[in-house]
Amino acid sequence: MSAPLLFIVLPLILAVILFAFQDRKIAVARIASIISLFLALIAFVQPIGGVLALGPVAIHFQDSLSVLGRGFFLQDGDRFILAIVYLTAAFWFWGSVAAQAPKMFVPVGLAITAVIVGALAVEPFLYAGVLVELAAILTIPMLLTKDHAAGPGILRFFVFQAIALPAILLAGWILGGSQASVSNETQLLQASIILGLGFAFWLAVFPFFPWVPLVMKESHPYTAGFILCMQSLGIVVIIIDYMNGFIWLRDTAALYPILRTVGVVMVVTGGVWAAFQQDARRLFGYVVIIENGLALVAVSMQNGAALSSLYYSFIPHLLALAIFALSLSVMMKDYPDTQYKSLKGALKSKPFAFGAMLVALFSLLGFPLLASFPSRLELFEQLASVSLISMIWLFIGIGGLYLAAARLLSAVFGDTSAQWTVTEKPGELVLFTLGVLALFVLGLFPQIVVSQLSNLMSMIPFLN
Amino acid sequence: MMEHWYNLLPLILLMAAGVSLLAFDDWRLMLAGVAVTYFGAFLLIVQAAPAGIALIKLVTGLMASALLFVSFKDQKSEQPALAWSSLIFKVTALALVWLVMMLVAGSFQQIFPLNYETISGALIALTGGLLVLGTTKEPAKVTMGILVLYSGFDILYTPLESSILINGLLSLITMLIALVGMYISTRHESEYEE
Repeated sequence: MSAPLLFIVLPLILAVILFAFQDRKIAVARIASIISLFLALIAFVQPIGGVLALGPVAIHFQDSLSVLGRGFFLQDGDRFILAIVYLTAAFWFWGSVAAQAPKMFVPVGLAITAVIVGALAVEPFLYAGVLVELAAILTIPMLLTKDHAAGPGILRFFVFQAIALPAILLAGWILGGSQASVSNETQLLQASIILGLGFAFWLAVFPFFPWVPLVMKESHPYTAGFILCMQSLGIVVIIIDYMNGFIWLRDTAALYPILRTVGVVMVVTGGVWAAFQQDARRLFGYVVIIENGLALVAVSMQNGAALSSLYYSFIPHLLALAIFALSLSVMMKDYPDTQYKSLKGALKSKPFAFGAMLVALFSLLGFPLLASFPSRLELFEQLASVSLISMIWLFIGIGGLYLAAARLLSAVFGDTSAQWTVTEKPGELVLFTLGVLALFVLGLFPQIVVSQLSNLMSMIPFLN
Repeated sequence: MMEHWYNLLPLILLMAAGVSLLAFDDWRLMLAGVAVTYFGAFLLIVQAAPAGIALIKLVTGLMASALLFVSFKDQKSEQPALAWSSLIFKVTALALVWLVMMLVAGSFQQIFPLNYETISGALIALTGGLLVLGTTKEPAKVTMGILVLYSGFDILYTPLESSILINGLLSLITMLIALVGMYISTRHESEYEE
C-alpha cells in the first residue's frame, strides 16, 4: 500500500463509481464525505513511510507510486495539506445535499480533489500544471446551469486555464534546464515572466480576474465556490513548491517585492470592486481574489512564521468560504436573484443562512474573535515590518471588503416591518450552527488547533 | 533561417488553417482548419520527436476534430454573408502577426534546441489560436481556438519532453477539451436538481 494509491488512485476510482450512481444524490454525498473524512483522519494520524496497523494486519505505508516512468510522492511533510484538502472536501460534500448542488458535483468534485492531490505529489513538480489543467477541464461541465449556455465567465475560465498550462510547462522546461547553469540571467528572467504569467492566469491576478465573479454569477454558487477554493489552495501550494524547487528563484531578491506587490494589487482591486458590488454571488468571487492576494503576500514574506500563518489560515479560510457558499445556495432557494436590492429583509426569513453568511464574511475579513483573526494579525505584523506602504494599501483593500460587508448587512436587514421566521430545514440549521461555532472556536482558541497541527506543520519542508 | 524548404508545406498548412478559423464562420471550414492544423503539426513534430508520439498527437487531434464534427453535424450550418472588409482585416492581422513571429522565431532558437521551421510553426499555431480566442464568444469557436493553441504548444513541447506520462496526459487534455467543447456547445438542459 502506498500513500499516493490511497490519496489519489482510491478517490479517483471511487469518483468513477459514484458518477455511475449520481442520481442517488444523498447516498453519494454521504459516501464521498465519509471517505474524505476517513482520508483526512489517516493523513492526520498515520505517518507516511511507517507501518499502517489494521488489527493483526500490518501494511507498510510507502510514500511513492511509479506511473509510466514518472512518480507520485507523498511524504510526511504533505500530511498537513492532505488533511486540509480532504477535510474541506468532506465538509463540501456533506453540505451539497442542503445546497442542492448539481448531481455530478460530488463525484466530479471528488475526482478534482484527487487530481489536485496528484498535482501536489507528482515528481518532477514541473508537471503539476498538467494535472491542475486536467482538474480545471473536469470542472467545466459542473459549472453549467439550467437552461443557460456557457456564459462569458465560464468561457473565460476555460480559456485562461488553457492558456496558463503552456506558459507554465514551457517556463518550467526552461527553468529546469537552467538549474545547472544560472549564468544566462536574461533567459532566466524571460522564463520567470512566462511562469508568472501562467500563475497569473490561474490565480486570477489583476487584470485577469473578471472571470471569477462572472463564474460565480453564472454557476451554482456551491459548485463554483468549491472549485475556486480547491484550485486556489492547490495553486498556492504549487507556487511554494516551485519556489522551493528552484533554488536560484528562491534566492532572487527581486522576487519577493514583486510577489508582495502582485498580492497587494489583488487585495486592493478585489476590495475596491467588492465595495461597489451589487450582487452577493459576485461578492464571493471578489472575496476569493482577496484571499489569493493575501496568500501571495504571505508567501512574499520569505520567512517560516508567515508561511506557518498561511498554512494555518487555510483551515479558517476554507471553512468560511464553504459556509459562505452554502448560505448563498440555501438563500437562493427563496431569493434566486442575489442582487442586494432583491434581498431586502431577507435576514428575517432566513436568519441562520444570512447570519452564517455574515459571520463567514466577517471571519474572512479578519474580524476579532473569529477564525481568520489570528492569521491575519500575524500577516499584518509581518507585513508592517517589511513595508508600511504595502500595509496601507492592504488596509484600503480590506476596507473595501468591510464596506461591501456593511452594504450587504444593510441590504439584508432592509425591510423593518417583516416578521422573523426560520425557513431553513433542520439539516441546514445543523450545518450552519456547526460551521459558525467552528469559526468562533478557531478564533477564540487558536492555540488548540495550532498545537494539534504543530506536529504536522513542523514536517512541512518549506517552513524549516 | 529555413533548414529544409520542404517544411514550407506544414507552415502553409498551419497558416491556411489559421485563416479558415479566424476569418470564416462556417463550422465545417473551421473544423477542417483544426484537422489541417493537426496534420501540419504532425509533419513538424515527427522530424524532432519519436514517430510514435507524433502519431499519437495526430490521432488524438483528429479524434478531437471528429468528436466536434459529430456534435455539430446535425446543426444547420449558418452561412452568413461574407463581409469582405472583415475578411481582409482579419487576414491582414494574421499576416502581420505571423510576419512578426517568423522574424522573431530565430531568437527563440537560443532558448529551445529546435530548428527554425518547428519554432515558426509553433508560433504560427499559438498566435492563430490566441487571435481566435480573442475575437470570439462562441463556445464552439473558443474550443477550436484552444485546440489550435494546444497544437502549437505541442509542436514546441513534444520534441523537448520525452516523458510518456506527460505526453499521454497532454493528449488526454486535448480529448477532454474537445469533449467539454462539445458539451458546452450543444447542451441546453442542465443537471440542476429542482
